[in-house]
Amino acid sequence: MIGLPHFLVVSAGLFTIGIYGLLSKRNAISLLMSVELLFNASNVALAAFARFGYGSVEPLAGQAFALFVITIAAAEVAVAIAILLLIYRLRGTIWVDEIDLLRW
Amino acid sequence: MTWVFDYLWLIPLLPLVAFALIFGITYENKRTSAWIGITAALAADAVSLVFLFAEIAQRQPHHVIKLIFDQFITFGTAPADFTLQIGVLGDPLAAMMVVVVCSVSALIQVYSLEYMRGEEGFVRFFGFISLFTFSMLLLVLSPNFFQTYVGWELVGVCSYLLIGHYFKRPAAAAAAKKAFIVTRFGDFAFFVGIAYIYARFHELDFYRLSTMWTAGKVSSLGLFVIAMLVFSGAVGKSAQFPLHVWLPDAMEGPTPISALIHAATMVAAGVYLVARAYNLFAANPASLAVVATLGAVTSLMAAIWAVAQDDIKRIVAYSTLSHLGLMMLGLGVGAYSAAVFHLFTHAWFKALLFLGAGSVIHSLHTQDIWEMGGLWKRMPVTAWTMLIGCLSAAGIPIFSGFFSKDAIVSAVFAQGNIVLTTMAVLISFFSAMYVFRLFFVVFTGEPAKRRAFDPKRIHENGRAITVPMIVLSVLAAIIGLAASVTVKGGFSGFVFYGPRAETESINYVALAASTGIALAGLLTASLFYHARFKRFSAAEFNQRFAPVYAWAHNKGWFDEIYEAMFVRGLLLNAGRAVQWFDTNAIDTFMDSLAGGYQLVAQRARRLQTGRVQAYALGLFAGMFVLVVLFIVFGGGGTLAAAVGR
Repeated sequence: MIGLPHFLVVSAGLFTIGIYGLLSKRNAISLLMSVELLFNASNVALAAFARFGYGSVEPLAGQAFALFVITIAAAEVAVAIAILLLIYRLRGTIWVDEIDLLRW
Repeated sequence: MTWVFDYLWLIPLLPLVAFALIFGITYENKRTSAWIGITAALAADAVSLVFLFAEIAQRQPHHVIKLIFDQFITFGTAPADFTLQIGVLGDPLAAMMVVVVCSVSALIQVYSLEYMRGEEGFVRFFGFISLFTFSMLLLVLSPNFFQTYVGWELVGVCSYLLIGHYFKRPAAAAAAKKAFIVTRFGDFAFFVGIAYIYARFHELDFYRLSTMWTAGKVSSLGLFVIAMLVFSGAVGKSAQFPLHVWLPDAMEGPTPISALIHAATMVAAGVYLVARAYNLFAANPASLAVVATLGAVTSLMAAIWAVAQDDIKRIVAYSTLSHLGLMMLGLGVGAYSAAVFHLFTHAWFKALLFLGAGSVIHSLHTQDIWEMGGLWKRMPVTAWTMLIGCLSAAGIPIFSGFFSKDAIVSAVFAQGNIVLTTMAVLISFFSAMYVFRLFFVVFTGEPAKRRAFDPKRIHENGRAITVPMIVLSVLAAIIGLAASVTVKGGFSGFVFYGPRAETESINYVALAASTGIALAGLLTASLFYHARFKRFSAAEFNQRFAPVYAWAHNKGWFDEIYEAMFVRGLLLNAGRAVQWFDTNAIDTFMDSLAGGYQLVAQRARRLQTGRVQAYALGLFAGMFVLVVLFIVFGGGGTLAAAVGR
């Protein structure tokens, strides 16, 4: 029987991979993909909590939140890619360790 | 005619509306602006006259208070808490004063049509005159100390604006500042006095307070302190010694403004305040003695100084000081009606003297009396009206000044204080002497100094200037007599304090004495200064008594003493101390504070690496710490329970 713990383990795994990617990759697109992994890790957890219930929380709230997260992620990626495109045009690179405009 | 009491609010409102119209709408149009001001003053004057006659018709002592804002400002919420009120007060004293203010204001504005023609700031001048009139009317019609104070400060501001009318001239700017700052000393004390009254009596209404002074809420010392604080305000505004120094300098303003300030607004406010709050002083004989002494000292000093001045406006200014001092002396010795009567008659002849002086200045473009002389033929209307003004000011019988001045001098005689009596005699003598010195030097003989221009150019001024002077001279000639015969019991049967005197008791000895003294003054002036009757040389006299002359000519060196003591002595040293404190204490503290921030910021800004992943690492490290804390302290159990289910 697959229960809440299984889903949470999957979620934690996704989250860890996301963190690893975010901290180690140099390519900004990879960073965005890692962020997507983080979002989806949380989505899995939310849906799982909703399905299996947790206290007296309204069951559908989890799914609703997951949908919100997907929407917001899409919007965020659109903005981020637009910024990245501009940075690429200006500086000719999207390697994040070479982009340090907001430095002291 | 009692219906007029329902319309008293119109009297201050009309000039206020004129002020708003002039500055708001008609500022570009000179004639229209001027006539708006004149019309408003005349309309207010019409209401005031009805008000005056309604008051004369009242047989019983009475007062009417009509509140306009019964809760202008409220402190606290409970009904018992205190509210400041704005309203109008109708009683004989107010009726007399509003007539003076409105009439003089209207006449002076007509005069200014000609006098200020082509001057810079013509419209501004008329706008501020309307505001000035409004302020004074607000003060005069005030039923309580609060509203009085509002009018009081407004009057101060207006005098500042108008004395500094030619603000591009440094002397005028300095004089305006001096007037404002010197009167401020008095105003401050007055404000403290009002706060003290409120703290002790929880009441500011004049009439309600009148029965409360002696009800034992404050000790007699406290009452004396209150009276002195209120009187300090009057000392500042009415330019009494030791705060008299601003008034002569206020001559830097245009002459019509000097007339307005000296006759109806501003300086009259101080005497009016003492008259209005007279029950406060009457409840406390010691304060009356102070009022009398200070008034007599101011009056005598100013009268002597006036004899040694060369500037025509300054002579008249010192005359005002002297007459205001005389009013204070009258109030101080208990001659309430006489002093208020003198306030009334003084307004007409003083406005007249100033307008006459202005007419001469307008024609000759000089203020030095020694450059004038022999104007009798060339400026007949000015000469005749000035003669009436001088006769009235000197207190020659049947002219208005005589009635009031004689009443004050008689009261001083009757009081019997030998020092005050002597001073009153000297004041009468000198005040007759300086006005006729002025008159003889300006209008008879030949100029002592060569004029800097062609004498044929001197001519009588236009009708706008002469008509107000003629109106004022008629008033100055007859109003004393008129007031004495038309009202039952004379003026003292109209405005009085305490029980009404049914018949005027005339002290013939005092009457003869004061007339004789005034005539002696006149005669002395003619012996020294009249072209034909000259027997003595003033210059020789001045040389023989050089120290006295120097003292009088330099106004007792008060300006110099104040300059040395307060401006250079106190202010400069205080300024140095403040500067030391500022550079050493405050600046050092601020500099080190800023330096500290800078030091911290230098180090802390290194955290901003500009690398996204460094920030992300910090973010996750923080989250990790939070999760660990969550598991260790409490929250972890719940999580475990949830997962285990």
